[in-house]
Formats: sequence, C-alpha cells, structure tokens
Amino acid sequence: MKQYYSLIYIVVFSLVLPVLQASAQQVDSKLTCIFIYNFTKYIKWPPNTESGDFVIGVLGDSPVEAELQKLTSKLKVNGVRNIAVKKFSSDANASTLQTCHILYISKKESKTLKELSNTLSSSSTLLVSEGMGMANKGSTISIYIDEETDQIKLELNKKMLESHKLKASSELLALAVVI
Amino acid sequence: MYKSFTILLKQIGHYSILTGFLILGTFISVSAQQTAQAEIDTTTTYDYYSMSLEELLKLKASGVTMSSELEKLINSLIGVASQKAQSSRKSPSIVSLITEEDIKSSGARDLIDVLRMVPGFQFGMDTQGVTGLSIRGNWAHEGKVLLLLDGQEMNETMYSTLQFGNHFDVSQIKRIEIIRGPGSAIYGGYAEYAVISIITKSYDDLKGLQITGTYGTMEHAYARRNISISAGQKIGNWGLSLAVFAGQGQRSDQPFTSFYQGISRIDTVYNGQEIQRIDTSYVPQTYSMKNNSALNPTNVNLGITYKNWTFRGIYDDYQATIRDGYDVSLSRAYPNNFKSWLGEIKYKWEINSKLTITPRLSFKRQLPWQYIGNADEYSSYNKQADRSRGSITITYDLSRRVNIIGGGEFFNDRGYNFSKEGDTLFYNGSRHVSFNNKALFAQTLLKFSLAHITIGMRYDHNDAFGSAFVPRLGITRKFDKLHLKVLYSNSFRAPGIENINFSIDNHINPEKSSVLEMEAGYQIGKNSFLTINLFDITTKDPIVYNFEEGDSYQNFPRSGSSGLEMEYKLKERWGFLTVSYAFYTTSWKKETISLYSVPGKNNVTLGNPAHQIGINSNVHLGSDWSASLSGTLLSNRYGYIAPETVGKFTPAALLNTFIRKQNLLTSGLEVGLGIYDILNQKFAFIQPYNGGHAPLPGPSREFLIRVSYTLKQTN
Repeated sequence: MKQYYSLIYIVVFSLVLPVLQASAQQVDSKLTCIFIYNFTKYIKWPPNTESGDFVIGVLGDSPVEAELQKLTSKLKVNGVRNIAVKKFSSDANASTLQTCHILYISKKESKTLKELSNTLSSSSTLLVSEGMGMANKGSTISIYIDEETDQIKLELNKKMLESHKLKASSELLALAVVI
Repeated sequence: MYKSFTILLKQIGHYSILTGFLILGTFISVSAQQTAQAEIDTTTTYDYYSMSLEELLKLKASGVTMSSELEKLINSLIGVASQKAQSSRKSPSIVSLITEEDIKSSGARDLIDVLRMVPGFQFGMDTQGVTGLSIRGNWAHEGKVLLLLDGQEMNETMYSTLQFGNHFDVSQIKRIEIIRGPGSAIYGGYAEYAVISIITKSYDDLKGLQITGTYGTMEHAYARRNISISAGQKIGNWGLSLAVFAGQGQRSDQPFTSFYQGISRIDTVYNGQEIQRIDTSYVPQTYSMKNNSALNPTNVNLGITYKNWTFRGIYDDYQATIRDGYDVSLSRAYPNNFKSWLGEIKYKWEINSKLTITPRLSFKRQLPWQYIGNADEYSSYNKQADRSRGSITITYDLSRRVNIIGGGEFFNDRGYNFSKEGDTLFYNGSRHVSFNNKALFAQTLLKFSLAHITIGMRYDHNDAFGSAFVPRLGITRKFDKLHLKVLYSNSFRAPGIENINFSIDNHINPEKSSVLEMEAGYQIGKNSFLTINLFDITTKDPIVYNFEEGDSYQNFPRSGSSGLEMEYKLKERWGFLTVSYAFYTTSWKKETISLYSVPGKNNVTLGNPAHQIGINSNVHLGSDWSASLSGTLLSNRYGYIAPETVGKFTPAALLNTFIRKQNLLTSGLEVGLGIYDILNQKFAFIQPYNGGHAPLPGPSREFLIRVSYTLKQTN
C-alpha cells in the first residue's frame, strides 16, 4: 500500500516535470498586444524612422503575433500610419530585425535577450518582452503581472531607451518602474 | 406568517437594529435605482486600444474580458494563506475558494452544505447535539480548525469548538477562502489542520439593501425559517455595512435512540446513618428529534471603515436545544446556547509605498455550551471566556522580489465560572482563571524567477501550557498552464481553557503536527482546470477527550493521516461543473488514537469515509433561469451503534438540486426552490470517537424555498 502511494507521487510528478518551461504568470496575449500598440503613443522614434509602415516584429512563436495581425486592419499609428507585423525566427539576422520599430521577444526566445540586445544596440528598435526583471536582462520594456495587485506593470530600462535613441513621454516614465 | 415574522423580530431583539436599517434605507432609497442584473462588462477588446496607459495599468490582469471566467477565478487573489495576497495558484498552501456564485447557484442552506463541497471536509457529532468538522480523516472539532468571520475568530474559547447547522448565514457571504492544511504559522493555535475564512459582503458589494427569506421543511417538521437583511453604503469617507440574520431551525425530524436509558429524577434518602441514592424516574431511550433539536441563530454583523480605519463588531447568539445528552436520552430538551460578542478595531498605517504597519485591538466574550438551570439529569454550565488581543503587523517590500512580514501578538484569556451547581471552581481552586499568550511571527516571501519561496515561523509562549514553535516552508512555481507547490509546515493546537481544566493532573501539552503537501495544477483549456494534491500529516501529543477516563483530556502519543485530493473545475457559457475527490488513509501511520480507530481496520477512523466525491454543477437555462445539482458521495463509514459495537454504514449519496429564477417580475427579485437529500438517505452524524453516543440521525429530505430581493444603487 505504501509502495502504491509512493508510486502515485512518482507518476504525478514525472508526468508534469517534462512539460516544465520557465515562465512567470503569463500576461494575456491580447493585453500584451494592447500595450505594444500603446507604446506607439508614448514613445518617440528618431526622425529617420518616420517614413513607411510602422513595423512591429515578433521573434519566435507567440499568440501575440496573431493578435497583432488582427490589429493592423483596424488601427494605425497616430491614426495615419499603417502597421506591418512581421514574424521572425530565432535565426533571423540582425539587419532584418533592425527594420522593426518594436520587436516583441516571445517567452521562448527570451533566453537570447542579452545577446539580442547587444546585436541591436545601435538600432532604434524598442525591445519588448514579458516577465519581471527582463528589463535588466536586455529588454527596453518588460510587461509583467504584479500578483499582489493583479495589475499589469511595466519595467523600463532608461539607459537602453537612450542608447536606442528613443524618447519616452513623461507619463510613461511616471507610470513605469524605471530601472 | 406575520406572527412568525414578529417573533423573529423580537428574537433579533430590540428595534435599535431596525433603526440602523431605517437610516441606511432612507439614504439608499433617495439615490437607489433598481439594477436589471449584476453589472455586465460590455467593454470590447477594441475599446481597450483607446484607453490611456494609466487606465490600462489600473485594470485587473485577470479581470479583463479576455480572461475566461475560470481564469479570473483561478488567478484571483487569496489572502488567507500568507498575509500577503497572492494568486491561488501561487499561495503557499492548498487552498479552496468558494464564491458567492457557487453558494447561490447550489442553493446551499448553511455552512454544512457549503463545506461539504470542500475535499477532505466531513461532519461528525461531538456531544450535546453539536456537530463539528473532521479534516482529512482527523476529528478536528476541538481546536484544530479555525473559522474566521470577517477576520474574527469564531471558535469558542472554552473548548475551542465550532458549531455547525443553520448557524452562519450563507446569503451574506461574498467568498470563502479555505486553507486545507496547516495555518498555525500565521494564525496560531486553532489553525492546526485548516483555516476557513468567511468574507461577507462589504458596503461596496452591497451598495444598497438585500433581504433574503428561507423556509425549509422536512418530512415531519420544518427544517428552517430564516430571514437575513443586509445593507451597505459609502457616505463620504465612511463605509458602512450592517447585516442581521435570525431564524429558527431543527437538526432533524428523525427518531433518536441512545445507548442507555436515562434517569430524569434522583431522589436522595437519608436513613439516619448514610445518604442513599434511589433512582426513581427512567427516561425512554428513543424520542423524536422534532421539537427537540432546535438550531436558532441570531447574528448581527457591523462593519465600519473610515479612511484607513476598520471596525468590525459581531454579535452571535446560537440557541440550540438538545435531548441526546452525553450517553443517555433525556426526559426533555434542554437549552444549549452559544453567545459571542466580538469587536475589533485596526488601522492600516501606510508609511510609504513599501512599508505598512497595522496595529489591531480585538476583544471576544463568549458564553458557550450554556445552560442556566438545575436538573438532576442535565448539569448546568455557565462559564464565560474573554479573549483580549493586541497585535501589530509590519509589512515591508524590501524590493519587488522580496517581501517581509513580521509582528507580534499578545492575548489574555480569562475564564469565569458562574455555575451555581456542580463544578463551580476551576482547577486552580478559584472561580476564574487567566492565561497570557505572547507570540512573534515572521514571514519572508521571495519571488525568484525559478520559484516563489515562502519562509515563515511563529513562536507562541503561553503561561498555561508552555511554548510552541512552528516553522513553515512553501515553494510554489507557476508555469504557463501548470503550477506546482511543495509545502512543509509545522502547526499546533493550543489547549483550550477546559482542556487544561479537565486534564489529568492539570497539565496538558499543546499538540503539534508536521504536514507535508504537494500540489500540481494544470489549466487544461481556457475553461477547465485540474488540481491534484497529496498530503501527509503526523500529529504528536494529540489532545484527546477520554470519555472512559472520567471525562478527562490527555495527550495520546501520535495520530495523523495521508492521502490525496483532486479537484476539477469547468466554467463554460452554459454554466459550470466542479468535481472533487478526496481519499485518506491511516494505515501508514505507526500509531493512531485508539478511541478514534475502527476495530479490525487500520486504514480509516470512526465516522470518516476513506473516499469522498463532491459535485457542484449549474446550468443556465436562459431567461435568468438556472438549475443545479450538487452533493457528496461517500464510501463506507464506521461508527458505534451500541456500547462496544461498531457498525458499518453503507455508502451514501447526498444529492441536492436547486432551481432559481433571477429578476422574477421585477429586477432584483430572485426565487429559488430546492430539494435536499433527494434520495432521502437521512444521513447520520456519527461520533468520530468512542464517546458512548449513538449516531445522531440526520434530517430527512428537505424542500426549500428561498426568496431574495436586492435593491442596488447604480453608480
């Protein structure tokens, strides 16, 4: 009987352990998409990036991409500028990623964030990721859920923002946790 | 009907309460408009794009329309498990959350119905008609489970028990947060096996007036006739809520047969040399519980908030009558009353965004098990217990990843014996006793990306029984769809005043438990969620009431249980389904309590089925109609059916159905009809220890009507 009970322990945890993937509490993909769109209102990109479509890239597989695609048919940046959503695989080269105004790094690709940040250090690309502490690991803005209040929080790495020649509005700086 | 209502009002007592309602009602009626339904969030996804960043950051992450109802539920914050609210999936305890909707839709009559939905919770009978809880196969009635009503400790201080059965009003409940496991590291000496935290509707939830009337009838007698009135309103910086519940109920309408024949009158004869007792009047062993098992509650609950100040006042008067006595039937029913007055004031001092200090003062006065009378066959009991408590809790966010909570608590327990007959003195030779209890507690919550780690401890020192130190460690990790918990905690049960008073040589140790738990939870889809948890409880020095050793309390060597619990939740547009399963065994424990064990069986305890399945389901039928099926399926139980004779009670299916119609004829009016114990099992409350008491017959099938009217102010 005791062996049977031990077996239950082993079975239950051996079933769940293989499917573990590191991630904090997931922000709803629709919400992530809403925040990404909102950044276009509160961040100013350099003048040389103001022509053509506003490009939002998604690195890796993420339901956020599908949500962004839905968005393009309905909304424009500042009401006039078309939004183009591009999906990139993990082996995408830096030159193609640099064409993005915003690059959302999916959870699965977040382990390469540091490397990616170095690669794109001279670009004007806003790197957006999810999870508390990710703004210290190379992301410019990270979105996460504060579980105590059940509210979305934003982490903003001001140094990274400046190095990418981006300017955040005073409102965004006041509302985000600036690192 | 009018007459019954008048009697009830007189029971509530005094029209001062009604005056309060009139004032609130007048204020509400000026500004109130009837709402068609509970507010429906009509925000579409597209609307969120036009919101400002500030507005977006104020949204509840689990409360936006894109989260399913189930996701909102499983990600909702729970405060009972760690003094720092966290989502239920990351709380460092095995938790159950019962919502207002769960209660309303199931048609639960009282807390017994509600708590039967909780895996591992089972009801048994103690003595004098009082029913209590067993948790995970362990009789937990005396001091092992803490019940908080709006933060107020409802356990009576003499024996540390709780009383169930038409007691607390379920229509006033907003939510119930339950720790199915140890809570002593936070809550101290009553929270050894479980914590039940009932949160009633605040002024903000009420924003008006709610009236609920309930009438239930069994085969041979009425089961309950209760009325509940609650009102709440915000006036400037003041938030006020007042709830009153009063009624009459009966435990059962079935015949009860005691093991022994009672004696109602004893004549004493003095023959010049010696006193001779001559028993002169015998009582039949069998009587009908109709009109002999009253459960008449009165509860007044007042909440006042002003800025960061909070006041809570509760008056609870639970008037029961009993005729089953200890081991013999009595000639008539006697009162067995439980009165409590509770008050608390606290201030949340937010020094800055990181540091909060909360001082709290509370007072509790109780007169439990009270019978003021004098009968040969039933002793009077007239004792008062006061608990005066002061505590301070400091919460500090060291960083976004580290939260520290610490503080101290002091309480003084005083017992007074007002009895004129029988034992009029406590063990100290006085009519009053006094103990002091000092406690320090601390908790650190570390939010690593790898896992959330909660490390906690509480140290109590009591004048009467010594010290208890209980550490706690909780490791929780949430992945995308999956969460895992590994929890280890010590907990303890503080002896109550009477446990010390009736202990052998007036000395008893607090009992201590070590509990290991593991939980895995997986969100199967957008709308369904499964949790599985395992537990192992070892209790050292359990405090046991020993009927055979002259009604004394003593420490036994060890007890405990191991087992598994599962819960599956499905929430769809058509309604919801919750199915739970609980299993426990004592066969892996080296020692058990002989008085609790079943002769010839080492895997189960008296009164507690090894397997328990819980069901709560609800279907929306359209046009504000809904129907529910709820209940519990239980495997074999064992209990004493005659002196030294244990009987097997066959598996039982306690099934209830409830149909309700919201907004009937007018908005805010709700009517529900229910049938309880559809199969008419007359489920007996078994005494989970060898105490010489026959099982108490449960009620027969009950038909119930509930009418509720809500007048809510629209913003």
